[in-house]
Amino acid sequence: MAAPSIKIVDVVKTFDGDKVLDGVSLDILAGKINFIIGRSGEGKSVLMKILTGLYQPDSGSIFYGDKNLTTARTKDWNALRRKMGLLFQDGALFDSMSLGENVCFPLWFHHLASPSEARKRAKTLLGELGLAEAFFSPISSLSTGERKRVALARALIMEPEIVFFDEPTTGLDPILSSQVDELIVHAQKKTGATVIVVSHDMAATLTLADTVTLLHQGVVVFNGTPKQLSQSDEPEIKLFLSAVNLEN
Amino acid sequence: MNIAVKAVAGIGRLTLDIIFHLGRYGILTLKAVFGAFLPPWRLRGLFRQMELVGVDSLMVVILTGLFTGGVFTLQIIYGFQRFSAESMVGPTVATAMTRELGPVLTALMVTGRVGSAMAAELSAMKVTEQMDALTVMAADPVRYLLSPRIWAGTLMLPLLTAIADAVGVVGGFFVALGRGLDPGQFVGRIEDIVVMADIFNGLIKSAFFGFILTSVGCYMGYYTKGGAEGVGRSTTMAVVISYVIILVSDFMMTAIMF
Repeated sequence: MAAPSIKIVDVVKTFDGDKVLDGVSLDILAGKINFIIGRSGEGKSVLMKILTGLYQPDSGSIFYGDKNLTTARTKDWNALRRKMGLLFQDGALFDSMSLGENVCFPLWFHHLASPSEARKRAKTLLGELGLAEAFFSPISSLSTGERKRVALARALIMEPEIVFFDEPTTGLDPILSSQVDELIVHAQKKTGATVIVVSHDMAATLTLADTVTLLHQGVVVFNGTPKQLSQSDEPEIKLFLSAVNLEN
Repeated sequence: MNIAVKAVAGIGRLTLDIIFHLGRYGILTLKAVFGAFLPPWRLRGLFRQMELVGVDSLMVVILTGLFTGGVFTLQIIYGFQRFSAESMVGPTVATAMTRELGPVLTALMVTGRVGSAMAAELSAMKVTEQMDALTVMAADPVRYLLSPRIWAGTLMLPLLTAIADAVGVVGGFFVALGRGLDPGQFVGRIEDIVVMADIFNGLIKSAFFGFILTSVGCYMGYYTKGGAEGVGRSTTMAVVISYVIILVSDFMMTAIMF
């Protein structure tokens, strides 16, 4: 499995006259852990939703490999989405289903496995995440950390080539945060996927990322390695790092 | 002058708003209705919704039909007895139930029970990103969530209405007996006066009401904005708009059909 490279070219997105992304251009490295960081409201999640086709950019292009998906039809997006996994900030688990049904859902929906095969794969995956015993539990009975793990299992069950994490550690205590960090590394190592993490958790960024992109006021102000980020003399970057250090 | 300009601007905005919502509702509903015919077909989802709309609404519909038929008989029997027209009580109850009371009251009750629940459930799914999760899993939320709901409403409302019609006449029958009519007087002329068109047109109306109450519930849920407040607003709006459309369209269909 070779994860496709992702190229973002001059993407602009406006909401109610407010320019959230203002000409963002970026190369996402295939098979690596890519962090997109920035303060709240800087357009990180919007960029992620554009990359998953949930939002259309006002202008600019998104390339997966050599395919331009900006003007692609839903059918083309859906073909690509079968190779994607997304861990939503709050899990976005289906309340009407049990834990196991949530994880099996993508396989059932696309008829990619028989019910027994899907259950077997889900149980194996949940076992790796420490939730094998809770297969039939209702979603309402899960803790925040467990929800994150179930959502991760659901995102990984299709063995995606690209995995997105939207603010994976927001609202979690330090122990849970480090567990989720381990899950991100686990996901990348297990599948060799391209991982894109939207976050403002600097500790995780500096320890997990292969590349870091800093968004500020809708533009990319930094793109490089975590080491280059921490050594940068750019005023915006210094301001962001000091603000984050104060928060932490 | 300033007030006049503001008033015209307000009317213009309102008109544009209405056109916008009608257009968006039309497109969403067309996608949901015709999307159901595209493979892969998901009959399990349809049957589940038919159970929720139909089987689970049975008790409330039976009670509504029974007491509506009963109270209608109570109201008319007094007047009919004064004109020695007791034999017209049964046909009048049957005509009213099949043409109007059965379809409309069933639709209103099911809107309160099912239309609001659909709007609330879909709204909650929207604000908690469950619909986005479906989209990212290449599962079209319109076909997966909306199509079975709208078809279930359209198919099940005529069945519920038929039950309400029958139960309403039975309710009227027992009330009439209690008021001194004999069974033959109540039943005797129903067959002469109530024609099949009364029943079928009532059922056609109820299928339309089923479509309205589910599609409006789905529309309000699908386009919910905001958090818990948005869920509450969408649910309330779904019920209010469905009630208004059902009552207005009932008038228009009745004028055309009968």
